[in-house]
Amino acid sequence: MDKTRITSDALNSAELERIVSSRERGAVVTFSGVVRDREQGAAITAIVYEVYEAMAYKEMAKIIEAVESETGAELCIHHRVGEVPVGEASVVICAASEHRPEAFNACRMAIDKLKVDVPIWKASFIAAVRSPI
Amino acid sequence: MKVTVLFFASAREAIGMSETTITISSGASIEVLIASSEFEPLTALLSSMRFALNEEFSRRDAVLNDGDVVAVLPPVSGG
Repeated sequence: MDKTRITSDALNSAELERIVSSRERGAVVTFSGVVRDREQGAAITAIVYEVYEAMAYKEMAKIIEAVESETGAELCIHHRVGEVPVGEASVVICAASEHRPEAFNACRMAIDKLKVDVPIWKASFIAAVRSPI
Repeated sequence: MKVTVLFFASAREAIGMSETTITISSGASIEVLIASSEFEPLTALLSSMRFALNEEFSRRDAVLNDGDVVAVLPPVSGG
Protein backbone atom coordinates (compact mmCIF):
# COMPACT_ATOMS: atom_id res chain seq x y z
CA MET A 1 0.00 0.00 0.00
CA ASP A 2 2.57 2.54 -1.15
CA LYS A 3 1.34 6.14 -1.38
CA THR A 4 4.39 6.87 -3.52
CA ARG A 5 5.96 4.39 -5.89
CA ILE A 6 8.54 4.49 -8.69
CA THR A 7 8.60 1.28 -10.67
CA SER A 8 9.49 -0.18 -14.05
CA ASP A 9 6.35 -2.34 -13.90
CA ALA A 10 2.97 -1.42 -15.42
CA LEU A 11 0.84 0.81 -13.18
CA ASN A 12 -2.50 -0.39 -11.84
CA SER A 13 -5.04 2.39 -11.25
CA ALA A 14 -7.35 0.03 -9.33
CA GLU A 15 -4.58 -0.50 -6.79
CA LEU A 16 -4.16 3.26 -6.27
CA GLU A 17 -7.91 3.61 -5.84
CA ARG A 18 -7.86 0.97 -3.12
CA ILE A 19 -5.02 2.79 -1.33
CA VAL A 20 -6.92 6.07 -0.96
CA SER A 21 -10.49 4.82 -0.67
CA SER A 22 -12.41 4.53 2.57
CA ARG A 23 -16.03 4.40 3.66
CA GLU A 24 -16.10 8.13 4.50
CA ARG A 25 -14.77 9.19 1.09
CA GLY A 26 -17.52 9.39 -1.50
CA ALA A 27 -15.38 10.80 -4.34
CA VAL A 28 -12.44 9.03 -5.97
CA VAL A 29 -10.69 10.80 -8.87
CA THR A 30 -7.93 9.12 -10.87
CA PHE A 31 -5.62 10.84 -13.33
CA SER A 32 -3.57 8.72 -15.72
CA GLY A 33 -0.85 10.24 -17.88
CA VAL A 34 -0.56 7.99 -20.93
CA VAL A 35 2.20 7.84 -23.55
CA ARG A 36 0.99 9.26 -26.89
CA ASP A 37 1.96 7.78 -30.26
CA ARG A 38 3.67 10.95 -31.50
CA GLU A 39 6.36 13.15 -30.05
CA GLN A 40 7.26 16.43 -31.78
CA GLY A 41 5.46 15.23 -34.88
CA ALA A 42 7.29 11.91 -35.16
CA ALA A 43 5.74 8.47 -34.62
CA ILE A 44 7.07 6.69 -31.54
CA THR A 45 6.40 3.36 -29.89
CA ALA A 46 7.64 4.13 -26.37
CA ILE A 47 9.22 6.71 -24.09
CA VAL A 48 12.16 5.86 -21.85
CA TYR A 49 11.95 7.68 -18.50
CA GLU A 50 14.97 8.40 -16.31
CA VAL A 51 14.73 9.18 -12.59
CA TYR A 52 16.80 10.48 -9.69
CA GLU A 53 15.03 7.98 -7.52
CA ALA A 54 15.97 8.97 -3.98
CA MET A 55 15.09 12.60 -4.60
CA ALA A 56 11.99 11.79 -6.65
CA TYR A 57 10.55 9.84 -3.71
CA LYS A 58 11.18 12.81 -1.41
CA GLU A 59 9.57 15.28 -3.84
CA MET A 60 6.54 13.03 -4.36
CA ALA A 61 6.12 12.74 -0.59
CA LYS A 62 6.30 16.55 -0.28
CA ILE A 63 3.59 16.94 -2.94
CA ILE A 64 1.34 14.49 -1.11
CA GLU A 65 1.86 16.30 2.18
CA ALA A 66 1.19 19.75 0.65
CA VAL A 67 -1.83 18.71 -1.42
CA GLU A 68 -3.43 16.64 1.34
CA SER A 69 -2.99 19.49 3.78
CA GLU A 70 -4.48 22.04 1.36
CA THR A 71 -7.43 19.97 0.09
CA GLY A 72 -8.12 17.45 2.82
CA ALA A 73 -8.14 14.72 0.15
CA GLU A 74 -6.18 11.47 0.51
CA LEU A 75 -3.65 11.20 -2.32
CA CYS A 76 -1.25 8.73 -3.86
CA ILE A 77 1.17 8.98 -6.80
CA HIS A 78 2.82 6.16 -8.75
CA HIS A 79 5.27 6.87 -11.60
CA ARG A 80 6.60 4.33 -14.06
CA VAL A 81 10.20 4.64 -15.31
CA GLY A 82 12.31 2.87 -17.90
CA GLU A 83 10.56 2.01 -21.16
CA VAL A 84 6.84 2.85 -21.21
CA PRO A 85 5.03 1.77 -24.41
CA VAL A 86 2.50 3.94 -26.26
CA GLY A 87 -0.95 3.61 -24.72
CA GLU A 88 0.33 2.70 -21.26
CA ALA A 89 0.37 4.99 -18.22
CA SER A 90 3.60 6.68 -17.19
CA VAL A 91 1.95 8.20 -14.13
CA VAL A 92 -1.21 7.53 -12.14
CA ILE A 93 -2.46 9.87 -9.42
CA CYS A 94 -5.47 9.05 -7.30
CA ALA A 95 -7.29 11.26 -4.81
CA ALA A 96 -10.23 10.47 -2.57
CA SER A 97 -12.29 12.85 -0.49
CA GLU A 98 -15.68 13.11 1.14
CA HIS A 99 -17.06 15.17 -1.78
CA ARG A 100 -15.81 15.59 -5.35
CA PRO A 101 -14.32 19.14 -5.50
CA GLU A 102 -11.45 18.31 -3.15
CA ALA A 103 -10.54 15.12 -5.02
CA PHE A 104 -10.60 16.84 -8.44
CA ASN A 105 -8.48 19.71 -7.07
CA ALA A 106 -6.03 17.35 -5.42
CA CYS A 107 -5.44 15.41 -8.65
CA ARG A 108 -4.83 18.55 -10.70
CA MET A 109 -2.56 20.14 -8.08
CA ALA A 110 -0.53 16.96 -7.76
CA ILE A 111 0.11 16.46 -11.49
CA ASP A 112 0.92 20.17 -11.94
CA LYS A 113 3.46 20.05 -9.10
CA LEU A 114 4.90 16.72 -10.29
CA LYS A 115 5.65 18.24 -13.70
CA VAL A 116 7.68 21.01 -12.07
CA ASP A 117 9.53 19.44 -9.16
CA VAL A 118 9.86 15.66 -9.42
CA PRO A 119 13.24 14.74 -10.95
CA ILE A 120 12.03 12.43 -13.72
CA TRP A 121 12.87 12.96 -17.39
CA LYS A 122 11.75 11.69 -20.76
CA ALA A 123 15.27 10.51 -21.56
CA SER A 124 14.64 9.16 -25.04
CA PHE A 125 11.98 8.11 -27.49
CA ILE A 126 11.80 4.79 -29.25
CA ALA A 127 10.80 5.41 -32.85
CA ALA A 128 8.57 3.27 -34.98
CA VAL A 129 10.70 1.41 -37.51
CA ARG A 130 9.60 2.01 -41.09
CA SER A 131 9.46 -0.82 -43.56
CA PRO A 132 12.22 -0.33 -46.18
CA ILE A 133 9.60 -0.78 -48.92
CA MET B 1 37.25 18.40 0.42
CA LYS B 2 35.48 15.99 -1.91
CA VAL B 3 31.96 16.19 -3.27
CA THR B 4 30.09 13.71 -5.43
CA VAL B 5 28.34 15.13 -8.48
CA LEU B 6 25.47 13.34 -10.24
CA PHE B 7 24.36 14.17 -13.79
CA PHE B 8 20.95 13.36 -15.21
CA ALA B 9 19.27 13.28 -18.65
CA SER B 10 20.69 15.96 -21.01
CA ALA B 11 23.38 16.90 -18.47
CA ARG B 12 24.56 13.28 -18.34
CA GLU B 13 24.58 13.07 -22.13
CA ALA B 14 26.52 16.33 -22.52
CA ILE B 15 29.22 15.44 -20.02
CA GLY B 16 29.35 11.74 -20.87
CA MET B 17 29.09 10.34 -17.35
CA SER B 18 26.49 9.91 -14.65
CA GLU B 19 28.66 10.48 -11.59
CA THR B 20 32.06 11.88 -10.58
CA THR B 21 33.95 12.96 -7.48
CA ILE B 22 35.51 16.42 -7.50
CA THR B 23 38.04 17.83 -5.04
CA ILE B 24 37.47 21.52 -4.31
CA SER B 25 38.56 23.97 -1.67
CA SER B 26 36.73 24.02 1.60
CA GLY B 27 33.88 26.53 1.74
CA ALA B 28 33.19 26.47 -2.00
CA SER B 29 29.62 26.92 -3.22
CA ILE B 30 27.75 25.10 -6.00
CA GLU B 31 28.50 28.17 -8.16
CA VAL B 32 32.24 27.67 -7.60
CA LEU B 33 31.96 23.93 -8.18
CA ILE B 34 30.30 24.32 -11.58
CA ALA B 35 32.88 26.89 -12.67
CA SER B 36 35.57 24.20 -12.46
CA SER B 37 37.03 22.81 -15.68
CA GLU B 38 35.27 19.45 -15.33
CA PHE B 39 31.99 21.23 -16.06
CA GLU B 40 33.09 22.78 -19.35
CA PRO B 41 30.98 20.43 -21.54
CA LEU B 42 27.90 21.73 -19.69
CA THR B 43 28.58 25.44 -20.18
CA ALA B 44 25.79 25.98 -22.72
CA LEU B 45 23.27 24.11 -20.55
CA LEU B 46 24.04 25.47 -17.10
CA SER B 47 21.68 28.45 -17.25
CA SER B 48 18.67 26.10 -17.56
CA MET B 49 19.85 23.63 -14.92
CA ARG B 50 18.63 23.32 -11.34
CA PHE B 51 20.76 21.84 -8.61
CA ALA B 52 20.11 19.53 -5.71
CA LEU B 53 22.25 19.29 -2.60
CA ASN B 54 21.86 16.02 -0.74
CA GLU B 55 18.57 15.26 -2.54
CA GLU B 56 16.94 18.67 -1.93
CA PHE B 57 16.65 21.52 -4.46
CA SER B 58 19.35 24.04 -3.67
CA ARG B 59 20.40 27.59 -4.54
CA ARG B 60 23.67 28.01 -6.38
CA ASP B 61 25.20 29.99 -3.53
CA ALA B 62 24.78 27.07 -1.10
CA VAL B 63 28.11 26.31 0.60
CA LEU B 64 29.30 22.73 0.24
CA ASN B 65 30.69 20.40 2.88
CA ASP B 66 32.95 17.39 2.54
CA GLY B 67 30.97 14.35 1.39
CA ASP B 68 28.05 16.32 -0.04
CA VAL B 69 26.19 15.04 -3.08
CA VAL B 70 25.35 17.64 -5.72
CA ALA B 71 23.00 16.72 -8.58
CA VAL B 72 22.77 18.59 -11.88
CA LEU B 73 19.11 18.54 -12.92
CA PRO B 74 17.83 19.57 -16.37
CA PRO B 75 14.23 20.85 -16.50
CA VAL B 76 12.13 17.86 -15.46
CA SER B 77 9.74 16.21 -17.92
CA GLY B 78 7.99 13.47 -15.98
CA GLY B 79 4.28 12.68 -16.09
